[in-house]
Order: sequence, then structure tokens, then C-alpha cells
Amino acid sequence: MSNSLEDRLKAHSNAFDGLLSLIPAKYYYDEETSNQWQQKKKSKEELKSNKRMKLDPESSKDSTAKQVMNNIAKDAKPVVLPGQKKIQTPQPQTVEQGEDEEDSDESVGYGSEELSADEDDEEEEENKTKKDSKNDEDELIPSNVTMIFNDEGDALEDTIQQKKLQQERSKVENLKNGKTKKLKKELSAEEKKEREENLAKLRAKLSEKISTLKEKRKAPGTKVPGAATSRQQILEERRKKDELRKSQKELRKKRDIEEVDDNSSSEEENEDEDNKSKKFESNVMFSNIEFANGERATSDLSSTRKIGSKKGPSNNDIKAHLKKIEMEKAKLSLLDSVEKEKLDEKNKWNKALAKVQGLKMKDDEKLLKKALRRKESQKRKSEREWIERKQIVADTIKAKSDRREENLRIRRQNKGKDRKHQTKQLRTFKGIAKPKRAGFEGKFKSGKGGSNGSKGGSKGKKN
Amino acid sequence: MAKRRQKKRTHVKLSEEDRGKIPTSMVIHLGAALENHTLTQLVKDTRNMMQPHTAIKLRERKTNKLKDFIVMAGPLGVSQLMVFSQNQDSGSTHLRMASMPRGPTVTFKIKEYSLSKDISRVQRAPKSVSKTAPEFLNPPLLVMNGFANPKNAEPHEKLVVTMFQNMFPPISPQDTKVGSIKRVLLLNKDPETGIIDLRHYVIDTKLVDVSRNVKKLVNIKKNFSKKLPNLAKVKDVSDIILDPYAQAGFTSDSEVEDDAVVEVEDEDALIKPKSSKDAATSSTSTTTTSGDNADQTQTTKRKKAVKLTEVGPRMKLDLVKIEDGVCDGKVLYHSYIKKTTKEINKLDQLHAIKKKERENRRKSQEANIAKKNEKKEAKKRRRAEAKARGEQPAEEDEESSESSDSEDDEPMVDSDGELFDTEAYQQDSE
Repeated sequence: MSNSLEDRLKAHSNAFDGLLSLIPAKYYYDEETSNQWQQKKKSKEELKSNKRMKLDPESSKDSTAKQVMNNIAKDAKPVVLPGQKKIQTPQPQTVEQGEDEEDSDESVGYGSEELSADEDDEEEEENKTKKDSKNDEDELIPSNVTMIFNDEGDALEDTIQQKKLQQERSKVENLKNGKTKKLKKELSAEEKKEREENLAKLRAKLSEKISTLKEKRKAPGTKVPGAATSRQQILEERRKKDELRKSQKELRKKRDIEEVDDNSSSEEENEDEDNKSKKFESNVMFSNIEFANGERATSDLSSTRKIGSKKGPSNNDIKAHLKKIEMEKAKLSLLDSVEKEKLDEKNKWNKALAKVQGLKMKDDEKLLKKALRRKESQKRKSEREWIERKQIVADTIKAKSDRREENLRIRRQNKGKDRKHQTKQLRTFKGIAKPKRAGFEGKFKSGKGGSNGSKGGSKGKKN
Repeated sequence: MAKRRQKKRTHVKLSEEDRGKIPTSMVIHLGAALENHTLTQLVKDTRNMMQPHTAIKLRERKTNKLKDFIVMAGPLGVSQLMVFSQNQDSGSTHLRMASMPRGPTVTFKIKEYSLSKDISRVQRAPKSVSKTAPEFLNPPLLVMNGFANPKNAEPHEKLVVTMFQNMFPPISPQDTKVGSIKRVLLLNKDPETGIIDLRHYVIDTKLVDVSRNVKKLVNIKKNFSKKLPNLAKVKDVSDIILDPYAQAGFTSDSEVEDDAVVEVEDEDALIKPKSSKDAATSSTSTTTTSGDNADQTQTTKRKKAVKLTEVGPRMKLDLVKIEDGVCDGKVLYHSYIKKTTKEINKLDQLHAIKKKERENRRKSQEANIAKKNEKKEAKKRRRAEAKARGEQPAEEDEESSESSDSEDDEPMVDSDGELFDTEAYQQDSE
């Protein structure tokens, strides 16, 4: 084993090279993807030939990572160590610099074009001409480099820079095979005039087109009737345009929202939303919310429902309630046992719920019957009392009329008699004397009316 | 003497019908729970929580039975009975909530509880609210979290939710003032264990975006006992309005959270448009809606920060069972005992037999009483006859012995009222 540093380094690099030569290039370097979207579908023959090429050992030079690396090393910029300056030949560098400048110009041009406001039309023109010239130059450059693998560092950079790199590389190659370069130079010298003419033609065409377009949209500065002439008009137009743009934007937004809504009502998003809302519903509830019109909000606050307006007999109609119970019983007896059980279960919970809400359930037959009996007895009593009262009224009327007749008779009798011998008239009528009995009996009266009447009477006496 | 004028416009008395609609509650504890002082305190705290429509001063005696309260609930118009009880053997506490005349009873096991005393002790800045504090003039806002929507919930959960919702009078969006809601009763159900956490908070509101001095002035308007800001050192109005210590017009409201800030319509301005003028001048940051001069008197809005401070009891409730009647009746739901229809039918039969036996006993008892009364009357008649004859009844001793025999039976037979009457009569005679 050699002990010197150089030897060791060499040994290591050999080992690494060996490893690299075993790795297929596509696994080691990123494939070139910058123009993948412009690629067109290859024909069958092309595909076939490509496959064959793969199998051909000679054609696939760049098949391993090692080979690709060697190729790149060939093309790479010569390394300039910080200590030793400009030892290399100056030629390629100058060329590169020129290229760089052009490129930078180009990039600036692109940027301004993207901005492209309405006012700087002239600038636009310049840019376009530049672009044209650039295109011409691009045509000149032969593109023999088909496959370019970027270094790992380059992969991170922008596509523009990648382009620059490509161009640089191509230039370097051009310089290296000097013969072709010379040929090209000769060609350019011959055709320079032609090209310039071409250029001028293209420029004229472009300017013409621009002016026509300007006239079409009545841009300021053109001599079309309707075009803005003063500064104010220009500003006004700009404002209008802005407004139009804004309104369109809003419209688009609205449409988007609507579309989302439409989608949600039919698709999976809808389900998600439903779930969310369900979660929310289930999550928070409040105490009862009752509106002035008697409606009550449901506990998920999604709708309202009326309360207290249920079907069935009125609260006081006990007989009807009894009848209803009987009907229900009859219905239940017709059902089979399974359904009966189900219905019973349901009724049980419904009753409990109603009771919790403070509604009175009139479903106990026994109690209802009791209530009915009480009510009937009350009715009987009040009826009796009513008859009594009627009797009393009739009796008083009769008594009064009797008294009057009696008095009239007495007066007739007394006519022409001496005062001493006259018979006395009857006393004033003060009601029929009821047969009084001992105790408290008779003071309490049944029914609401009776008690209220007595109260009112007592009050009246006090006042 | 002239009658004192009663405020009829602002202090509208509710009609009998409306009063009947308001749910009222009674919170009691009975039996062994009476001996437990912490439980007694819990009952007091719970009563506080249930204010104002509750029996706040209710005092149970050892002799009181549950039936006494059930009987009295009807005439008093109580719609909800909350009974705390403690098992003598296991010591576990239970809470039964019964909706009153015949309603179902929901039984909870209280897994844990803490008194308001403990809670205030734990807090850094506790809020002290007495029983008579204005916070308790209106019922709390009920907030339930984690309960299933009653539309698609199981019946027992639906029942529990409805019962809680009917514990307090309904909120009316048209009539209920936002300012009147000063408390929150939070019920949070754990989705996994099903345990209900009960919390009770007081709502605190604070003016935001106003300098400290202005806040002071606004607060004085409501509470005269507070001090006026010292104006001795102030030379200009701006010194008060624009707090020199505030940074960029905002004082440090460090506790206020951003999402807790709410715009509230000023009620004073709504009631008396006169005062809205000084309200507007006193608070610089009153934001008037859309700057309409005509509406300015109607809507003055203030930004307020809402903060909840916990008071009152905490409880962890675990639903045990739901019964059909008031603390009795059929079991509608039981959390851990499930019975087959066979067993239920058997129980039903047993109940029916028991019921029949009870009726038979009652009948025989009534017959006994009737017999005895007849005997008494017969005796009376005999005496009366003897008196009429003008003879001194010779067999006095025999009769007294007989009567003593009958008295032995009497306490079992006669109702309490009669006993009381006889006692009173004896006292009178003495």
C-alpha cells in the first residue's frame, strides 16, 4: 500500500469512479424536465428505434453516471483558483461575458413585457424587436446537445438560469470545434444584408400591427375619433376600466361561491359539511327559546315549531278524553303483540316527554272517571240551586202581586168607612222568609259564580 | 290613610296564568343526607343556582318525608323537585330530578361535587355574589354541550335534554334583554363516559377600547358608591378622556381575549333617549351605527368584553335511571340493569297483587271505622236517653274502660288532623 496522500486519494477516487460507472445515469442525475411539457407524442417507429438504441452498447455512451460526469467535466468552465488568476485563455471568457450581457438584457425585456402597461407602448416595441433579433440568433445556434443532466446544485436554480447554462455550454462547444464556427461566421457575413432587411421588414410589420391595434381600442395618442386627448380623459378612462375589472372580479367570486354551494349540495363536500353541522348541532344547545307568536325554536336552532296546538279533545272535555282512551284501547286490541309492544314503548316515552314539558296528560282512566263524577255532581248541585233560585224569583213575583191585589181589595173595602173601622194594608214586601236552620249551612255556595258573587257583595257592603 | 302608589308600569305583575307557566323548583335533601353538612351546603348552593324561581329559604325537618313535599308541590305550583339523598350504607350521593305533578323522575349519581365555597377558594380572582345579588334576579342561561340532537337521539337522552331545557323559563328573543342574562349554567356531556358536568358561571362584562377614566365615569353612572376620578390635578378635559398612561389610546386589558369582545347596544340609551347624549359625550369610543343622526338616540353601541367567572356548585352527574312517576312508578330506563319482558311482566303482576291487597286493607279499615263510629253513636244515644230519663248513669266505670280500649286503637285509625283536634280541645279545657 502506498502511503503518500496523493496515492491514497487516487485510490479512493478510483474506487468511487468504479462505483459511479456501475450506476445508471438516470438514477444518479435528474432527468432533464424543463421541456417535458412541450414534448410531443412519439411515433411508434421512433419509440422502437429508441428501444434499440438502448440495447446498443456503443450508442448509449451516457448510460452510466461516470460517463455523464466525464462529459460534464469536459464541458465545464475551467476552474479558476483564487491564487492563480487568468492563466487560462481569455477567448472563451469574453464570449461568455457578451452572452451574459445579452441574456440579462433579454430577461429585463421579458420582465417589462409582462408588466406591459398601456402607456409604455414604445418600450414594448423595442422589446419586441430585441426579442426578434434574439430569436434569429437562436436559430443560428445549432442545438446538438440533446440530453443535458443538471448538477444537483443546478437543479435548485430557476429555469432561466438553466437555459443560460445550456446556451453557455453550447457556445463552448461551438468554440471548441472551431471549424464549424468559422463556417458560420462566413455564412453570417454573406447573409448579413439579407438578414438586416428581413429584420427591418419584421419591425415594420410589428409597428403596423401595434398601431392598428391601438386605433382599434382608441388608445390615447392615436388620431382616431373618440380617443382620449387630454390628461383628464385618460384618467377617466383608466378609472372606468378599473371599475369594470373590479365588478367582473366580484362577479367571478360570486359565481365561484355559488358553484361551491351547488357542488356541496350534491357531492361529498356536502356530506362533510353536514357532518360538521351535525357536530355543531349536537354540541351546543340552549334553554327553550320562545317567540312572541308562541312558536318555539327547536333545540338545534334550525327551525321553529308550534307548541300547545295539539289535536284531540279540549282540556275540560273529560268525556271526550275518556272516549279517546277507549278508542285507543280498541285499536290496541286489534294489533298483534309485537306491534302492540312497539306502540306501548313509543307511547311510554312520548307521555314522559309531554309530562316533562309541563303538559297535563289526561290518560288515567280512573282519575278521569273520578273527575267526571265530581264534575257531574257539581253540575247536579248547581242545577238544583238554579231551580231553587228560579223558584224564589217566581215566588217573590207571585207574593208581590198577591200583596198588591190584597191591598187593592182592602182599599176597595175601606172606601166610605170611618178611619177607625178601616182595615190596615199589608206590610211592605221584604222577600220570602226561608226556613232558617242552625249552623253554617247555606253560607257556602258551590261553583265559582256563587263564591265570587258573595265576595263582591261583602265588599260592596263595606264600601 | 292614603294608599301607597304601586308601580304598575315598570313592575308589571304577572297574571295567574303566566305565573303558572314559569317553572318553579324545590331543592331538598332528606333522610341521612340531612346529617351531612357538606351536602346541606351543596343543597344551598344548588338553590342559589336555581334562583329566582325556587324555594330559597326552605328548611327541611327530620320528620319531613318526601311525600310531604310532593303533596305540597301541587298547591304551591312547584314544577320541579330536586332531591339530594345519600345512601346510608355506601355513602354515595344521588340527585333525583322529578317534574312535578306526575312527571318522570330522572336519577343521577353524583360522582363528585364541589361547593361554591371551594371553587371561590381555588380561584385567583373569585367573584363574591350573595344570595340577594342582582345576578340572581333572573334565571341563568342554560348551555348544553355534547348532548345529542333530540331529533335523532335515544329517548332517554331526549328526555334528559328536555327536562333540563324546561328547568328554566323560555327565553324570548323579543322580550328578554341581553343585560338581564347574568349567569350561565353549563352542562357538558362527556361523549365517551356519558357523565354530565355541571358548572355555574357569572357573566362579567367590561368596557373595552375606552380609557380607564372614561370607564370609571361610565361605571359610576350605574353604581353611585364608586369613587369619582380625582379631578384636582387635571387641567384639561383631554387629560381625563385621553389617558396619558394608555398606549395608543388603549389601556391594558390584559385578561380580555379578542374573541370575547362583543358589541352591545346600550340599554340606557334605548330606554331614555335623553341620557344618550351624555352617554355619547362620556364615552368617546361609542360607535354609532352608520352615523345616522336620527338613529343616534336609538342605538348606541358599546364594545364590551365578556368574561365568565365560576361560582356555585360543580357536579359530575351520571345518569342512573328514569322512572315514570315522582320517585316511583315504572322504570323507563336504567343505565346498568336491563330486564327482559318476562321479568317486567312478573313485576307487573306482583304490583297488581300488591295494589289489590292495599285496596282490600283500606276497605276493611274503612269498615272498621264505620263500625266503631256506629258504636260511639249508639253509646251517645244511650247516654242521651239516660239523661232524658233523669238518671245518673250507674255503669260509668264500665264505659270508661271501654273507651280506653277504643282509644288504643284510635291513633292507627284516625287521621292526624283528628288527633290534633282532640289534643287542642284538651288544652283548651285545661
